Amino acid sequence: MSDTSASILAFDGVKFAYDRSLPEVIHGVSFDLAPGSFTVIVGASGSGKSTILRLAIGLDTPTKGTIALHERTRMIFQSGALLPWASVLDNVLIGFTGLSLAPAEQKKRALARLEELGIAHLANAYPRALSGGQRQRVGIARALVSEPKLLLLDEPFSALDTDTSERLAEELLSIRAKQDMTMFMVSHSIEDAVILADSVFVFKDGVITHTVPISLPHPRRRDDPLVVKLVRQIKALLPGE
Amino acid sequence: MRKREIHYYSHRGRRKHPSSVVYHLGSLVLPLALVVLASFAAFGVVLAPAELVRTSSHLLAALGLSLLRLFGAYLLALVVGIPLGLLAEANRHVEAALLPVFDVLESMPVLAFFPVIIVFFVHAGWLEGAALFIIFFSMVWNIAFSTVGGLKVIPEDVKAVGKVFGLSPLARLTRITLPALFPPLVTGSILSLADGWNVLIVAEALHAYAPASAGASDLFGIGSILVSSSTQANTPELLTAMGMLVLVIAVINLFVWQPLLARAEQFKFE
Repeated sequence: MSDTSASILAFDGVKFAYDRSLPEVIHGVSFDLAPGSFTVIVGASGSGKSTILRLAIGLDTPTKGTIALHERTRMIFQSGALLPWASVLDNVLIGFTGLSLAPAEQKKRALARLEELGIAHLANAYPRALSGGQRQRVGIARALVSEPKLLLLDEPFSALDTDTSERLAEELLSIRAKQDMTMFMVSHSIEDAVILADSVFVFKDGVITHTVPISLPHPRRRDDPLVVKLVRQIKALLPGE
Repeated sequence: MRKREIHYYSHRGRRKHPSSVVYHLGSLVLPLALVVLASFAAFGVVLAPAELVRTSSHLLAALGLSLLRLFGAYLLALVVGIPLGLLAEANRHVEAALLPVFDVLESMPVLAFFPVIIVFFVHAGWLEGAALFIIFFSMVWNIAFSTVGGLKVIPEDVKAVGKVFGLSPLARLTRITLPALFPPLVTGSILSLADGWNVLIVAEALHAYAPASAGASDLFGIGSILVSSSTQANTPELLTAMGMLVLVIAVINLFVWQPLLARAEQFKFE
């Protein structure tokens, strides 16, 4: 993996297999994310789309091809991935790793971010005491405190109820409007993809088969006929979904 | 005001049981009562207070020395067992090579080799080492396997946090891996200490295992006193030693393991 200042995230002919004895799950993926864009990759469950994120962040290594990633990249996980033994504040403070910032300033910024997400009153609580939505907000705060240039999101709404996930989706869009940030999300929900993204990658059989640009203005409503039409079009590209 | 609930934590099965101070005291009183009843049934005697006082100071010193031996070996087991577990989980090739070795070593009847171990330490001029080694060897596998098992249940997302957020390998170990290992290590420690108590008695009564030519004498401790008082039919000393042993094990459960098990709940992944 390399880091270039020009690319936010670029895959070039990336192939991947979990083991040399196993078949490839990624067959040659190439893309280059535009700065400030919101791209969602959709595909069937178990198709390997989350592997794209793991490759991007360096958790897995491609068997072939190259990946260029901006060094200020953070990630939001499906489960929240909070440390149960650390308070909400301490979980968020992990987000400052690698930044030379005084502890008092870190705490101030972390609390401000929690305030923005409406959970500052939970700063001293432990993850066990939080609801699914609150945990995901802590995960978002942890990812955003360092003001990353690229935010990777791995199915961030899949464990949440519809109301909570819609609220969080709105909050993500508002954060993106305020910050100069590129977002790259993996989702099994085509509706979420159409509501949020500027561009949707359709991932099937280990390759990106289609790129669907979404130029509808925000805010988008799920019952908007244009949204419904786009969802139907993308579903048609993913038979079985 | 919300009523504070007291729970009794078990390292087996259910995490915690509704309990009360009475139940906590029960964990102390019941084992002692059993010892008194058993002694009465076996010998037809119950210790008189005067005899208790006469034998107690000698036995307390022995108990203190045995506890030092036990906890010394336990600390050694932690220092060796945790890195062994971490090493076995370093990657799947190392795991494939090491786990079968661990399995064999864990199943090894270490007492069968005790005479050789004693001779080795007699030659080294450090007889205490033989006891420490054999207690350590009975403990270390519980610690190593608790570490291996604990590492396997850390969620992939949580493991990824360290890398994604740029934590150094040392910070990943101290801020993620070791805290995540706390609950399995508490359980492993309880099992280790239980095994350690069993082996302690043999480890101190060296005369039963040492070859005559080695010239090894018993080590002063509660284990060797249990054996000698039994063979010399010194019933008051035997019963007092048994009572003290049960009491100290119950106290350790109440004031060490119970708080640690309660704390471990906070470190578990849901």
